[in-house]
Amino acid sequence: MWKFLLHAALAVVGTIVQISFLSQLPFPFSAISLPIVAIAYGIVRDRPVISAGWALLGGLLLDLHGLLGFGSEMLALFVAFFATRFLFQRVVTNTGTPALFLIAAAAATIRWFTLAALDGVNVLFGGVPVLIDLSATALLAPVRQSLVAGGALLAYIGVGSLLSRRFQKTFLSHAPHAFSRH
Amino acid sequence: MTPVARSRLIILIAAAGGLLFFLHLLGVTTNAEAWMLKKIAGQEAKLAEAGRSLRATMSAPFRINAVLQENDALRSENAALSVEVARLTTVQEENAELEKLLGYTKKLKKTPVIARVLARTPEAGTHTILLDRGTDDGIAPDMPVVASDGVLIGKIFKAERTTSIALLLTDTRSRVGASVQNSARTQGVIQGKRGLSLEMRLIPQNEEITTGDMIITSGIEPMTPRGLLIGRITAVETQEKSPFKTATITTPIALDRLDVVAIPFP
Repeated sequence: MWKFLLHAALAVVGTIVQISFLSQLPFPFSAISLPIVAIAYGIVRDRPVISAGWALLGGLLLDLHGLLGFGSEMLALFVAFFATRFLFQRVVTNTGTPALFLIAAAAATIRWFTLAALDGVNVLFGGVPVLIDLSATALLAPVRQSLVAGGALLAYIGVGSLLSRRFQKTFLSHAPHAFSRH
Repeated sequence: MTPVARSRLIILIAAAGGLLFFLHLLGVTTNAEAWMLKKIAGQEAKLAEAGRSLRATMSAPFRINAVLQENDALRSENAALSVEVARLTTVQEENAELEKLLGYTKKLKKTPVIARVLARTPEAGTHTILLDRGTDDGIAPDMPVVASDGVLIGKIFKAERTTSIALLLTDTRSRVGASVQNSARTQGVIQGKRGLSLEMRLIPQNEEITTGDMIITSGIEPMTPRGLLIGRITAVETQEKSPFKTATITTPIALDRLDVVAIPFP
């Protein structure tokens, strides 16, 4: 139970950090979508419940701050989660570096296209377009976001595995002394 | 956890999302959402401030040359403005005298709402800012948003109870009716150019405009008063066979470094 609450708190804090802090930084930090990276991480590490939690809480907070109607971000993150999970289970079934990159990039792309589709529906019903913008900069934005998401996931997993190796080495080198004392 | 239990939990989380959506549609969660936004607004402001500081630190080594050039340009502009201030002070004194003579009384206007910039909104490709004031403070869509000294920087796009989102002038979707401060009061429409600069479009070919001309709001929109400064013309582009010409406008405000803005009431 505590583990779930901890992950929920992490999702809330992470999304707030992205909205307020990361968005102020220059590229590529401003293009990092922490919910997307967390969703992709949960999928490749076989922790889909964490991914779903991020989709729910991250989506909720993004919806409270976003331009599109309430529920759009949540729906887009859930679609990205289910589609990417399907992709990982049926198509890209390994955890090699290109596969990890592809999974995170696919999650970011699917999220963007879902939001664009919802925006299209919004425009059909007479709303003001929020994402649909055919200028070159706007069209490049999802591509940049996908590449950054892939890079961020690789960086996170890379740093994590480096640290875990280091800790493992320290533990093994000290273990015999620890046993010999007792 | 077994795969079946895990799948059930995922479905439960997705259903919670669906439930939240319907509760929002019914208006049940409005107060809770406003409370939540109010609670996190303070932390968001601190984080945004930290982000801006870090951004400034990261970009400092690359900006020294630009700052030196900007300093030179500002010195010469300052000299020209001092002359302008002297002239305007004389005009103002004359105006005050005329007001006394005519028994003119100024209309009472409500004080503008001052809002802090909490963040830039997270959608890719958009140029918007999140403000810590909303409908509770009288903010409504289409209201103008101004920065220091009354320079227009955008308009309110969406207003919630305690927060609102402003679409910056540089956003491709932004449109504002504007006029040139020349004798003909040339009219046009200010539009964002890929989030980088501003363009004034629909300027009739026969109108005379030159670089350096000041651009102000035309007041054609009901919520936006006439006379808010938008920027200066830095280039004029004339195309043959086209009935209109286009001008590139430079705003005096750095739109990516906004901390505090004001929303004047109409």
